[in-house]
Amino acid sequence: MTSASLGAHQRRRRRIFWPFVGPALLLYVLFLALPTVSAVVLSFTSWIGAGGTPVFNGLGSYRELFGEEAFYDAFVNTLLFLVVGGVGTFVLAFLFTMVLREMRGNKLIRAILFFPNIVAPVALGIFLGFVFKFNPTKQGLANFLIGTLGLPPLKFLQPEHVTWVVVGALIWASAGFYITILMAAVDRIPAYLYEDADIAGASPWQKFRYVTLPLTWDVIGIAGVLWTIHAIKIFELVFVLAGPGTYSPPINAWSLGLYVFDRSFGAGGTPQFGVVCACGVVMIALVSLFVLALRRLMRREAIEY
Amino acid sequence: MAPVTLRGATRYYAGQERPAVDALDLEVADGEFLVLVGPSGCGKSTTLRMVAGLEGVDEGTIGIGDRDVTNLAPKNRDIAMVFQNYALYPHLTVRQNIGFHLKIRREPKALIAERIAEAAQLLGLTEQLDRKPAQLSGGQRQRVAMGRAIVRRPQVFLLDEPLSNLDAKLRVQTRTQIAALQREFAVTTIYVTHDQVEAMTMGDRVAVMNDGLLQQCATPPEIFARPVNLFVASFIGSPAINLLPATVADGTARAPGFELRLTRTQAASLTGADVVVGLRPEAWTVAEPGAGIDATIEVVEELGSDQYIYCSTGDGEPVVADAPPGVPAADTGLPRPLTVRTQGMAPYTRGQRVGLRPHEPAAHLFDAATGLRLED
Amino acid sequence: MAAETTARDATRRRPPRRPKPPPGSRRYGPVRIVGMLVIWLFTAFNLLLLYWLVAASFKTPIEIFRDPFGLPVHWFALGDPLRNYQYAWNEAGFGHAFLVTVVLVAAASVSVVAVGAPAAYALSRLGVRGHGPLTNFFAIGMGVPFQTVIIPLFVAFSKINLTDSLIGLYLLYVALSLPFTVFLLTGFFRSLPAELEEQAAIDGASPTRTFATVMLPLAQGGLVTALIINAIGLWNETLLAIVFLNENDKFTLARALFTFYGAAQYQSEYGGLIAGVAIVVLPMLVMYVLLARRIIGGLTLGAGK
Repeated sequence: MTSASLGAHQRRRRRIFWPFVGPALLLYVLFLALPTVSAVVLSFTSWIGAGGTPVFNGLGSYRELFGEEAFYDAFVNTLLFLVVGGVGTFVLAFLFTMVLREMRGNKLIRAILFFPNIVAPVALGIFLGFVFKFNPTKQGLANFLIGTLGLPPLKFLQPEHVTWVVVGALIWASAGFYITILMAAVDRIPAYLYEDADIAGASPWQKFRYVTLPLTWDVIGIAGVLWTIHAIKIFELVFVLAGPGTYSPPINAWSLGLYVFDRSFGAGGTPQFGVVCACGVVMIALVSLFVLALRRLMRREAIEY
Repeated sequence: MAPVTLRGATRYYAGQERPAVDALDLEVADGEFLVLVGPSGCGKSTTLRMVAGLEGVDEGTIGIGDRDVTNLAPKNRDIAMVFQNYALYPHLTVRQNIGFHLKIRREPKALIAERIAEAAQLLGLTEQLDRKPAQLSGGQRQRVAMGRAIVRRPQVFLLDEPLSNLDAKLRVQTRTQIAALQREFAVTTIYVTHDQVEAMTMGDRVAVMNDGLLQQCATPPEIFARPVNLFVASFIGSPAINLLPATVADGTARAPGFELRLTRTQAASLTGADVVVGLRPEAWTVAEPGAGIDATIEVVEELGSDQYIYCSTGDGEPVVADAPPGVPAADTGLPRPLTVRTQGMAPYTRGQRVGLRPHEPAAHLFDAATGLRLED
Repeated sequence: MAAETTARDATRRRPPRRPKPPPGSRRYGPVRIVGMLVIWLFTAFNLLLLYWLVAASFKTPIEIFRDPFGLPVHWFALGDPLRNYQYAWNEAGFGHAFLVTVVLVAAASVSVVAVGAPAAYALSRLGVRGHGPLTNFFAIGMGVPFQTVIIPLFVAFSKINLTDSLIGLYLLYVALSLPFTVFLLTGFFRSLPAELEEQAAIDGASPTRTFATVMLPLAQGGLVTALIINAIGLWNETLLAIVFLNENDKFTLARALFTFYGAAQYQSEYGGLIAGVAIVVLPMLVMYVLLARRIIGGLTLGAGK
């Protein structure tokens, strides 16, 4: 093949670029990129939603948002899910990578741990609602177990406790996903490095510290980003677990995702679309902030074998 | 420093009937350089990994010095191992790689720095100490792996095909370097390779393995001069030995083109009438057609100092036997050629008919039924 | 000389059923003990919950709370073991929702792969300038919480009568699943060897033909994985279904479960509720058991790049 015809071929290849990318790009821009931009624009307006017209009010929506107790609670709880849940999930995942590699049947165990990730969050919430139910005549599974130990039952789902129950549930449900991702990265580390570490006399912790951690660093970074994206938008789990299911739970159990839902489509009060968009912008800002911070924190030169 | 002793050491792999290493008895003297050699899958690497403690020992025992280490974790065996792929940590610098084991063992910082400097000096790595493995050449990586073993000052060095990832020229250089290092440190060393040239040039003694079984363990000259069976005879030596089937009658082995008289001991230990005569390429004289075995030269390999001619023999059946299983075949592409070494620049040409006369005192005799050497 | 003296008859001896592990590997340090304990507890907990869910879906409310670990008895004794499932399927509308969900999820996940695969191919292999930023532009979409775009989308959709419409939800599902799909498939296409593509070019195949006859079959594994992961995600999607669907006859399973949750609480219809949870969870469980390797492999492929 001559270079001229190779060039011609390359040109033909380029000609299919836009027909191939076009449809996806159109859908993406229309339903995700433009709405994001308009959410930012709408966040600078005051708008009660259907029927009303958006009126520019500068930072008014943000001022209103930040002045609200419900937003404050939702913000703090979301940070709690993100940070405490994240630390818990990753500590658990790290602990597992230290031990699981040398365990028999570890593929099966991984599959079982991953299982909660394929369950709808609503189903998970309802299900955990049963587990943590407090009702003197109909105790849930957790209180049933506490009762068989002879201890007094606990009101797990009270607004002041429920956030911690959600954090626990989140760690339980997500750990399998991150264990799976990290273990796949661990499986890619050549076995002879662990053998050399064995000869050196490294303890499980030292193997983790000197072999596993540095060699899975980039995957941990990606996993951190995925966690951030996942944790910011938590909604159904809280809604179902903390509330009666028909209307929103008390505000001190809220997450940002729940705030957006309640103030736009929830049962209570007049919708506040401008404020809700401002909250949506805060959410996306939070994601960006954490992702940028993570990338900065995890930055390191690439490892070549 | 310590000797290494394997007694009846056996290793099975899950789901496999035959052991990978079968009742291996081996004694490596203090300070000795022992080479384990054999075709791939013969159990040599498994043996090394058993000594390292990376494989369990299903039967038998392993001792280092006067300690029985059969059930001791690798870290308590006082050994250092060089892996085939070097097992360098890609995220650590050369300095950190060399000092890694000492750091894990929480040796004092000053001692670690001193040992690293010393090893780097010895291996010519001083310039590269702050580089990462990916920035090193193959030879340098190999030396880092050596350095990491040296700084441990272990009782035993274990090397698993350390040269197989190097190009041919570097392999020869590094071969000498490793042998010299071993002599300098006088540390008991077990070295695994599939390359018989490496084995013969480096080892104080060579242990030949096949199919999980130890075939022979002896000094290189001994292995070359008195191979105990057909396998060792054909595995050691390059190009490989010529094996000629012959039949014994009246104390004489006869094959087309030559006869060989058996000694009384040889005749006495024979189990049947069939023997195999082994004649290395250098044990032949090339003569006019009609003398000895009739042959036609098929390939002439000129090496300058030597010349190898590969001949087809006979008009029908070739007179040469198949090599035993596991022995790599000659790369001439000829079916069972007879290989003869002649002087360099000899005037032989392809297609020429010659007579090949064996040099009888150099013949090795093997019982065809058992494959064992018939001692004279 | 050790000539053959060690060569015993190997066939006479019996190999051990399980070869010995390397020495030292069975040692239990503190990290190992804690780790193994957590892993076993975790695994046992997941299995127990799964058992509880399946058992409870056949129980009366009294059995559910009084005897959470026992086997279901009452409905079996009455000769109506599937009573809870019948209730959920018929009375609570899960039967209809099941049908809706299967059709919607199948259509949406096939569409998203059909749109996403050519885009991913073009972005990863055509070597067109600007493909890097465009790929990143798609990837950023994964970080946009649905809550951020939900107001603009809702307002726009109600203007063109696509709210309370399965067509509207279908469009949203396809568009909002694109970022992840394109991200996963670009990684996958990038990992394919270039030789076959070049061979096809030398043979004179057009770029479109090369894509259809050479690259698509090669990428089959990745496409199926993308299909499955999208199907699971959409099967479980709740927020958009709540916001964009109002009428019972359009409800998806997750949406139906969400609504039924409140109602069932008031009627103490716990058996039916758990059967509803099971109807949402069990199809995914079956899919997961059949395809766990593929799902996990696909996710780690996406994260590994």
